[in-house]
Amino acid sequence: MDKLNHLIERKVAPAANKLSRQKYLQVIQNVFLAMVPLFTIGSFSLVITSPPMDYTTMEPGILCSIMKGWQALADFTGPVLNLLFAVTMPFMALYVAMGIGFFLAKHYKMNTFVPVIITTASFVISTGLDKEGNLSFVNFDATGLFAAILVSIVTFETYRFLSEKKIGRINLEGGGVPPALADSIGNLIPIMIVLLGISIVSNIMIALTGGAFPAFMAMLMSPLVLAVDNIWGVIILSVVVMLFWWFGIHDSVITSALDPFFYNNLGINAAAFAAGTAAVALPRIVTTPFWWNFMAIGGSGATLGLAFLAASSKSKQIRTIGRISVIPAIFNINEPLIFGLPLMYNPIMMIPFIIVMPLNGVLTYLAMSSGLVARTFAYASWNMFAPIAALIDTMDVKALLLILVLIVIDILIYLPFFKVYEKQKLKEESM
Amino acid sequence: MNILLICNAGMSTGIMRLRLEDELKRRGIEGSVNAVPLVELDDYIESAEVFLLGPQIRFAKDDVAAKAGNKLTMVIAPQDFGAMNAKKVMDDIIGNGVNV
Repeated sequence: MDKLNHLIERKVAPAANKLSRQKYLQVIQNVFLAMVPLFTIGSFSLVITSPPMDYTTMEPGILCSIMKGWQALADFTGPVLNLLFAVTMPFMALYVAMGIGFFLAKHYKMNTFVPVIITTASFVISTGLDKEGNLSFVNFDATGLFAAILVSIVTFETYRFLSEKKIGRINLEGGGVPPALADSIGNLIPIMIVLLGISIVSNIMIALTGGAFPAFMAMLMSPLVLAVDNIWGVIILSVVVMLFWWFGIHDSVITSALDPFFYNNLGINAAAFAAGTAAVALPRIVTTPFWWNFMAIGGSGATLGLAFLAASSKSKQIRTIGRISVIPAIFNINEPLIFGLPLMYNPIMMIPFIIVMPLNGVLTYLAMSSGLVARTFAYASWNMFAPIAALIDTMDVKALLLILVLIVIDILIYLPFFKVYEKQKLKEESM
Repeated sequence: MNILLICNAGMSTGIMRLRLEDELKRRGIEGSVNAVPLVELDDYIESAEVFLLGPQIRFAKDDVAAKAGNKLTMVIAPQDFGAMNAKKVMDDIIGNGVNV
């Protein structure tokens, strides 16, 4: 055990640190963190304007009346909410381009607005013009996400390089020119080089591939996207994440790299749903809400049920931690359990702690791929109580039932291991 | 004493923040407690006097310490974090020579 501990603290933790310090990963994490309210607003707009059942084809009754009322609400709020939805998920790639410019500039302590202009303009240029010669918003949605990330990073770094090396810098300082103006005019040539460059590359791409760069990028990334949107991807990723947590190390190193994939899938589903696809037939399964609302029920390791077991334990020590853990667990925060029970480095609890979340993933995947439960097109946010979140994510009552079933299964798996651990603690306490 | 709690999203340390605020009040110490994500650390380097990391990001301690300079940087012990034992954490801060 000491040897393993040594290995983790000396080798794995520093590697995790190195990765999490990786500036692009950090920036991507920052961008998606900042965009969460936008996804919530988009989700609620979509949910409110989409009654889950069509009342005109229903038998009269309470449910029919509710759906009729819902439809009336949808018709009334539609003009406002549809507009709101249109600038949330369908614009995610554009916001990612802006965000990368902003957070990279912050990282390098460049106190200027220019980088945001560079990354945003470059991404828009990379999406090309449509046949009529107008700008097209088509790739501003999830389909442009990977292009937005790559184009923003490359153009930002090119600009930073040119600007730092003072290539083509027009020197206005000293002559009574305001510093902000001196900075933007001074960098006129670097800005021009970057934008001209991306425009030329974009035109070459269109000439060669017949489509704009985002489509090409999406095609390049599709094998990876499909590997994530897959039952084996779910199992492998969640086992690795849970190993991290068993060592008491935050999973952000892995999950922030997964954000673009999960949000890409969510955006594709939201667009398909808004265009009229039934929720059971949406194109993707593994999305942000799939992971955070269906798998991580009560926090990573699906410890909601365990928190209740702990709160009613006969062991005083376990009960104390359990009582602290219950309320955070409802909002999917489980650090008190991980560090207090503890689950970290706990050999007795290792097996359930690592397998329960992947199991939730497998069962949810099967339920969704077989069409038993609707797929996710909205995201209620990661700290929403799981059964409610699942209902909002899918607008399917069966999703809520699925969560309740998963909670029971999770408890049944945790229970025998928990009993052994409790017995050990009781023995310690009676000494 | 301005205490800065740092974790991944500033959520779990949010609970510790409430408890530490009570602990400051109980001891009659002037000060404030903030809980922030690691990625926003730079915005708080100047104002904070004590830097406390959640154990889940203990690997970032050296980085934080380098930025914090001669101010106290400490990882909260896992068992104290789990039990949200603000009294023990405050004892540790004072035990590390921070003047109040």
